[in-house]
Amino acid sequence: MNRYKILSLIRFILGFTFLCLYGLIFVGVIQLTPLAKIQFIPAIFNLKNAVLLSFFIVFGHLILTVVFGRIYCSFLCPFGFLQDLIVLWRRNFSYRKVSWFLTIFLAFVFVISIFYSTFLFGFLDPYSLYGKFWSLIIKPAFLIVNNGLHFLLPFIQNLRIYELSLWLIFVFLLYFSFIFSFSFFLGRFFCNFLCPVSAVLRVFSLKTIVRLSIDNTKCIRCMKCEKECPALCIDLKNQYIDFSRCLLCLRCFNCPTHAIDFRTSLKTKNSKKEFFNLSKGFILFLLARNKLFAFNDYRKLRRLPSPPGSISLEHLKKNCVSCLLCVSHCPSKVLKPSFDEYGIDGIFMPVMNYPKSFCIYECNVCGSVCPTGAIKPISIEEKSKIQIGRVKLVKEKCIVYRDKVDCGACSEVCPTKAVFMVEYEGRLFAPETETNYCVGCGACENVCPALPEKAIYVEGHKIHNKAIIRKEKKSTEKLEDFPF
Amino acid sequence: MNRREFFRRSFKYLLGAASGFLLKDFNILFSKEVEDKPFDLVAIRNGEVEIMFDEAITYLGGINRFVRKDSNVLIKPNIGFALPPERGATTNPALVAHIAKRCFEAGAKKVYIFDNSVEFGDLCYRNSRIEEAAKRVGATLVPGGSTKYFQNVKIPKAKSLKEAMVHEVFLEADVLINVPILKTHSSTRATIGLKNNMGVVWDRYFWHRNDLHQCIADFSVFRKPELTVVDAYRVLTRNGPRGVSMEDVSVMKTMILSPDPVAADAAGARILGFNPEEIGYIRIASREKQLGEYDLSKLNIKRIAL
Repeated sequence: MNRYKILSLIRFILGFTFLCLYGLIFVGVIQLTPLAKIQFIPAIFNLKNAVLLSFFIVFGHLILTVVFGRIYCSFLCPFGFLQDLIVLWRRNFSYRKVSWFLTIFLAFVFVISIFYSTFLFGFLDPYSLYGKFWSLIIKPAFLIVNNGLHFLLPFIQNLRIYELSLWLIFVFLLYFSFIFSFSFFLGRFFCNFLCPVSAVLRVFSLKTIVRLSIDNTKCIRCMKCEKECPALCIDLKNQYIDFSRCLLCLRCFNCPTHAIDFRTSLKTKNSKKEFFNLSKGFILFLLARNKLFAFNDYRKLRRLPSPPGSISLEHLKKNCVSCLLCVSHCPSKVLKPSFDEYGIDGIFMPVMNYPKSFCIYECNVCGSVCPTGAIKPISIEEKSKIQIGRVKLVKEKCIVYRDKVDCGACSEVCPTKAVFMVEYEGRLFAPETETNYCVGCGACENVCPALPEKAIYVEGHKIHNKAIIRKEKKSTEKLEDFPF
Repeated sequence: MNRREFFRRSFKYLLGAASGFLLKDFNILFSKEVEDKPFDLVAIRNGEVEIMFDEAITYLGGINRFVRKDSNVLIKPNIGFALPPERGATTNPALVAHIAKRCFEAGAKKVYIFDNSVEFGDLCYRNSRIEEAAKRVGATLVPGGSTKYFQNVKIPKAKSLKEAMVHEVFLEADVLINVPILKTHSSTRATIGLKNNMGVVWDRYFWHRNDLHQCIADFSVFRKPELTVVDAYRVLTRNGPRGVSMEDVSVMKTMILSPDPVAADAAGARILGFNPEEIGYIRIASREKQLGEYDLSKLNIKRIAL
């Protein structure tokens, strides 16, 4: 074992560990969701929302990049490592120049997504893509198999499953197979050509201090390194490594003469001019952006609420990178990834799936796992004062009003008694609503037994409202003697 | 501590222990007196659940009257909501555990605990702390979240609920001990024992669609519980059956035991301040189904205040 092998091995083990770790965190096997906050894009969003800790995380990422190059891409990013696994046996790549135009374009996509709409991050953020990979493919597959098997095997229990739009899975699978099939020709295709984090880090690793370079005297021009490099950044003909694009996978350490090694250097190519010319164009794009994304309201159907703590639909769309951590961790599985519920620019973001399930009044898991602050971490007391939607009762469909028999299922489950029962026609109890108390949890809609349509439903708010807490005096009934 | 004090203290402890023995003997004497003629209903108050249960069950002839050796017992608490026991929406876990313990002592082979909750079953089992209580005494908590556990059965002499999907543990148990908690209810006014049986079927909302009172009464004759233990330690006197906050809970420290499910419900309804006759399912179960007697003045009742 020489130094080169040990370093590659360490990198591989680290990468694999993070790959598994994040996978297990996404599906909820390991309860370490705060770890999601050290990923680059969640940290950036936390920085935007002025979370102190994220300042150090982002700063740390940048320092690491400036000193050692793209450590993040090397093993911290699980999606990058996943591609490494896909191309593990491919050894016939070749050098390819990636223009700075693309990089600057992606860097602007990065900035726009952070401040205006996270729509593109749904497809371009490596962290959330990895989350979607687990929550849209692996976990549902596991749950379906488990729930199928539980009919045959007595010791397997039925597990709750969140609803998924088949179109959504189709779109995602199409995109996923697109990325990975291109990987066979262009190495880590996503990292090289699509990833905005990669673009930002490329800018920061322009002047990296410790960098890989080729020793002219040792190199025997065997082309092994160029063929193996999945970042396509080794130009052996010109004896040049574009280290700003190096993903530090260390496959070039396989060099038979060890001509490639870390060396400190301060020489770089200058591309400042290009950078500023491009900037002008993108400022125009920025101004035009508001017109481009103005199609939120095309849906005429009832509006499903966004999860409590997300403040408003706008806040959600500006901060959610759709990693689906909340969907996977939701105990009642009321959250599902949206397809068109929020409009096209809200694709993949969590939406309350009424009437399939309902939000548990005493639960605040989604906010506590959210790594970007799109769903704020709120206490249960704070949550009880948030109204995400408002109850609507349709008396013509209600069993009590229509069939003249007692029912009251809605009021039974209402945690705030925003739905309460009043005497009706002398002998019956019929539901009435007091919307100020309603938090919009959807329990009433979930249980309403009326057929063919539910008689009670929750209409979501675009901007969350305040719910009033019902104040009643302490019940002091005492039993002095048996009343019989 | 010097020697003299040591002796003095030891003597005190001994005295205490001896008086304990005395008390125990006294109890035996006491229960012998009533064993001759079991009561129809026992109501007890002002005690902790374990003490109240042990005291009350002696007046019904002891737990051995209900639980035979090597029988399978199903304890059916109300675990409808994923709330802590302090909120008064679910049966006291201490009581459930204690009954399970007494069943084992009476020679039960297995003790099952089951409820098909309104909210998510696994969360209800955990939050109500009945999961923990069952584990402590070695009772089996039966899951209910899948149709594979449920069998379709016909309900005899039914008006509304002619058939239902019923959990297999309910069908197979030799002894059924119904342990409801006393609560007000938004549409049926009170939920006690008969309504608690709703938690063994798969589709509770069929009942809601097809005259709730009639369905509860229809199902009550399908399987009559051997014993009904109404937990009225914490009582939701308003906003039932879920309750809005701790403010809705009154601590009444009461318990009602009866082999007659209708009588137990009638007594519970009285505690909540209702006339049992006003509650639809109690009236139908008693007068049309002849399941039991709700007129408490006709019954032989033992009232105990500790």
